Amino acid sequence: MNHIIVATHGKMAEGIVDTLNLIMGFDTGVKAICAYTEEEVDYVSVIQQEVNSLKPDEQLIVCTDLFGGSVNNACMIFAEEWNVHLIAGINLNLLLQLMVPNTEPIEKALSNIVASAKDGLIYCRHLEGNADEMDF
Amino acid sequence: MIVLTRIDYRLLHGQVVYAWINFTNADCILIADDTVVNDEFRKKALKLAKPENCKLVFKNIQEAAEALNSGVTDKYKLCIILQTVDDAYRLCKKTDVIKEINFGLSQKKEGSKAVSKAVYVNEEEKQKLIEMMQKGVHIYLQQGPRDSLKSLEDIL
Repeated sequence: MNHIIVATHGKMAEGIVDTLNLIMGFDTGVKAICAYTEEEVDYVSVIQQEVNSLKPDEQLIVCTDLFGGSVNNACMIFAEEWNVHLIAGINLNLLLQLMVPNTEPIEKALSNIVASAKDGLIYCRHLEGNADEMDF
Repeated sequence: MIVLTRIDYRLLHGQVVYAWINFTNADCILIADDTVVNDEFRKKALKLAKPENCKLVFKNIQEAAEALNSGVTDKYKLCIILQTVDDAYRLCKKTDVIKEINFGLSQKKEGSKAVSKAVYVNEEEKQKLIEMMQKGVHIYLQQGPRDSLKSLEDIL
């Protein structure tokens, strides 16, 4: 069982999780942390609590908005925890793919998902690929 | 085996790709449509939007029916997507393999009435839907896989 947290500067986290839930058609249970919107909230300790409450067979995936940004920098302390996986530079494609059941080992699965989510950024003026017919 | 037949005027969009394809475990998508088949740009865009590990085939209604009847699709967990009630009606006239239709999204238009939040039908479509139901096709309303399912015959 994987838990997912999205942590961003400002309300992007809330927005992207809202969009995710709308597309999936149900509450996916992905948690949103909107850093620096309320001064008192120490998001690192919120994530730490989540890590502490993980059961032995559970993993936590933390997705942040920007590599090099302060949220991801603060989360780097989790990057090498055995049961935490930190991914920087979130997009909707990434989150949607995390919803797909996957039986691969998690490190391999996440590497593939990150690569594929990058491909989801497309300048639509010149669509690559071709429209060749695929048949049964 | 057909795992899902869906009427959805937006064809392959996020909800279909990530919610329905996951839920049904489909490994092949058939877009049965007379216009998309000839629209290279649209086909390219749809191909980019398709899930990985899933085949995507475009056919016009006639060829879709022929493929379904021939048995070449039997080896797939097939998801058929149609844009309109009329497309579904014409396909069901040409083949008996479709037993169930998920009526997901249809566009609001002149003279149409809402039968649920995102589904609108006009009188002509209503008659076609009734005819399909009389033929034994179960038509149901369910936008996402975890939404509750309502049979159309209880509503129309």
